[in-house]
Amino acid sequence: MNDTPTRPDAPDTAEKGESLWVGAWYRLRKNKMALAGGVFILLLAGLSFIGPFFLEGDYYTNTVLEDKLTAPDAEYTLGTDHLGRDQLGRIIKGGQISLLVGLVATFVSLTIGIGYGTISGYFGGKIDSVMMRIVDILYSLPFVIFVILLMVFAKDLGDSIDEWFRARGSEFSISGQWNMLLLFVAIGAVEWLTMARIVRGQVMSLRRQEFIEACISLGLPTHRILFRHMVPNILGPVIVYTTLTIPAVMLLEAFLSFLGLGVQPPTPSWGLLIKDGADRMREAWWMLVFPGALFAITLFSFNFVGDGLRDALDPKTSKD
Amino acid sequence: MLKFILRRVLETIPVLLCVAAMTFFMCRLAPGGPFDEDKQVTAEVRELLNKQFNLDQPLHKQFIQYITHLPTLQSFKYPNRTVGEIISQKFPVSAKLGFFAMCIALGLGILFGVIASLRPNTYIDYIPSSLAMIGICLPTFVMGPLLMLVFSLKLGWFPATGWGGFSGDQFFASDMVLPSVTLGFFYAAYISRLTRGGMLDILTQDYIRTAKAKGASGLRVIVKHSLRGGLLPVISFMGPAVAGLIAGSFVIETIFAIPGLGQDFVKSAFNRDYTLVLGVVMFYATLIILLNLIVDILQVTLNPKLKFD
Amino acid sequence: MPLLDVNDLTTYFHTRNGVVRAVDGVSFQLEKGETLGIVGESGSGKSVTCMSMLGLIPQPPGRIEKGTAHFDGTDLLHCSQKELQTIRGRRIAMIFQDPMTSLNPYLRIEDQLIEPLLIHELADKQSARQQALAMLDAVGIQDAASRIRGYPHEFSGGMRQRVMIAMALITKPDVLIADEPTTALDVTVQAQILELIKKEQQELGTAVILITHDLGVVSGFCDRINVMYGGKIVESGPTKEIFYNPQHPYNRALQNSIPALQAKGKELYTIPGMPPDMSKPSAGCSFAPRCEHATDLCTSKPPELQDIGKAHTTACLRVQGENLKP
Repeated sequence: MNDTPTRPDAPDTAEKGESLWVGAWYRLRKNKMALAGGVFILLLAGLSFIGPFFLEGDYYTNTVLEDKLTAPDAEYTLGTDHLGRDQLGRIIKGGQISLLVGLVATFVSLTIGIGYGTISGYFGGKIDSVMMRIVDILYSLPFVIFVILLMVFAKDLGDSIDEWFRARGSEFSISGQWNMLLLFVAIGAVEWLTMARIVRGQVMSLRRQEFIEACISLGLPTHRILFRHMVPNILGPVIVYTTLTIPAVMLLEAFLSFLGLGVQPPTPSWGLLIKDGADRMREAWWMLVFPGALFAITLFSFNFVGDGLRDALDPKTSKD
Repeated sequence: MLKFILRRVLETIPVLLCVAAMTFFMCRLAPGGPFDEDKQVTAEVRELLNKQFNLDQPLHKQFIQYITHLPTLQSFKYPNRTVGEIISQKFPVSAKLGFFAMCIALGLGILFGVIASLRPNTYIDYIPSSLAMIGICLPTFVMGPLLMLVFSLKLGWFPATGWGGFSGDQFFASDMVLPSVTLGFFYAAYISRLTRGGMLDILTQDYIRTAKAKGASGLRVIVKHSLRGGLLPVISFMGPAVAGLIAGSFVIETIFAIPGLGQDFVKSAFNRDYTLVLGVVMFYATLIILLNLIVDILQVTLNPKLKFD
Repeated sequence: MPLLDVNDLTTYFHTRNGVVRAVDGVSFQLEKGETLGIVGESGSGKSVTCMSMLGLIPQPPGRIEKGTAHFDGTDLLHCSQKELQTIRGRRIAMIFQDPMTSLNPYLRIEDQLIEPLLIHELADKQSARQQALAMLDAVGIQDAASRIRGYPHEFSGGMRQRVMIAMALITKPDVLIADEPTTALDVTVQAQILELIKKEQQELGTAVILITHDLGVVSGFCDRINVMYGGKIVESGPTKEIFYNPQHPYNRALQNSIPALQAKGKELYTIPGMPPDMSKPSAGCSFAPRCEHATDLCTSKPPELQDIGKAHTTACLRVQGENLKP
């Protein structure tokens, strides 16, 4: 008997959901730019995450000083940098890092945003107005400044944590991944605000619909209504906004790396490569142009996919 | 309206206190100190320095001293100069950069957005819209160096760095062009997209048809009847835009070697220049909150359906 | 010579799902000071007819394919945008169905009221203000002097429609096109608005084209009536003829479906079937699929409007061939 109360609405939502997703896929397939963007992202992900298995372990740190600042040629397709490292290898590794930060930090922001927005929208009233006022205030703060401060001041905290563990005889070490962890948290903590607003709006309009009221009158526990019945229904806008958050996060990561606050050398990220390129553009244009172009095309692709998904999932906008 | 402003200002005080506390304790609880870099400093000298800068006092006492005397506190890195002096000297440079960038962003953004909205889904729309897409996807730190590479190193049209114009008395100089364009382009792109969307929304409204039925010319329909509603999304974007311009100025000032406040802020954080960090953060936070308040007031005055409450 | 002479007006919408023949060869005349009703269900092309004349059709997707609309020597369909602008609002004014969305929410009532006078340079700002105030008074807005400084959202639906009428008539136009002016309003307000239009029409001598789907509205209001179906005029004539001597089966069906005219306790009459899909042209009469008298000929040969006496024309093959039995 426990599960029967969920039945009444199940066929309805399933049917609606299916036609929505099928229709969306049909509309998305017709959008050439979005499709091209999606293919590019898949290729890039494949190159960055699977490509390294076919390369030697030190493909992005191998330093050949006598070959430094070689223009693109047969041996180095994309040239070498100021330390004679193969630019192609560094771009592959950089892409891996940038995509990783983009995905994980987006996931962090997604989790915070959905949780916050769902609670705010579901309970409404006073709780909602206080929670949204907080978001408003946070919106009006110079958040990038805090991220910069956090990245600067917490940079050495990893070493301190390691020391703390070593003093207690533990082998645990975090300093190697510390900077990445910090990036995930710092960026994720900034980018959740818009997501929270979107989710809240969706939940509020859903709450007024009959099938949620039916759940409430059936006496389902709150957490069950929230996570079984509401979260699946706000998926559309969330997916769209997620695709648009990933490029924003990657941009922020590159921005921090460019200022020397993100990923630490010798590990490359695209932001770092662009920074190196900008420093040496007089003698080695390829160091700036290749990572810069690739980064821009990647952001392009994510934005096109996001826009395409929005048009596909919102039939209202794709009428004419 | 006065009540609204008063309430918002009062609301700002605890927010600013929180910002100050967060910044201060983040600085102070992190490992490292302002004099770590100077290896030759002996322990005794360091103690003296700590005393001079009150670093030996309990944290909460320091915090109170910091927030009550912030503008007159000395910088750690530039002795004999107060936080207030540094900000009042460096900020005008950054403000000038931000001002020109904003002019470019609003001017080009609104112009292209309106043009694109008039003939949606034709080439008149596609060309500015694709340009906008490029502007949004080409980060400032890619575009800045690229523009510099092409227009100053290859073509030699503009000076690459220097920024004599900004710190000097001249209102405008050729070395302001590239940094302002770089900083403003992203926002021009974003604003043109917002304008296009907003205008498309308005141009399909019934009251636009009413205006045409009255015999209003095309220009009158746009300027008198559409722009006001069509630009509301742009107005509400102004708050985040200013915050973004400030962040962007950190990068632009680094790329073009402009002696502005943004560069100082990043440097001061690295240097553990506690007073200057706190000063700049509080300055920017106040600025952004203030500008947001102005934007909110502007929104209410432009949209008669909204009220101050 | 009629004031307005529309001939073979044809407007198509070129959408992704095909060509929608919204108006398909409509002709009619309007005399000075006359009141003409255009009746039909939603989608029959009555609004598009009038908006085509004023160039208010969104283009694209809309396109005026052919036809002429002569107004006082000017062909509205083929004159320049500039010429059209001097006629719109000054000589032909229009009020729309939904007063809630037809006024600009960002502008004061006053600014919107005086705009036609300013655009057509009929008055300076000062005297325009006075005229606006007088006009607002005339359409029955109480406390006009203070309300004129307000914004549309501070007005009720009926009040807004009064403002729309004031705005349309402020230039004393020759023609007023009222596109379902009462549809979005409460029943009690509907009569007031119609009264108001009538009153102003008599004072100014304006010709009125009243577009509506409500036969009850036109019966006491109009001199002549055009009944539209599927983008065509199917019956046209003096109001009396249309009501007491209906010929076209669609017109008959329409009148049969007025609830007030039916015996109490009888089941309400409805026209069977759905309005035609205007993107699929029919070879014959577009009403044939829903017509109880339809013959094979009706589905293959398109009917033409033909005079059947007393200025009464109808487009039904059966009526034209052998008189329709009641």
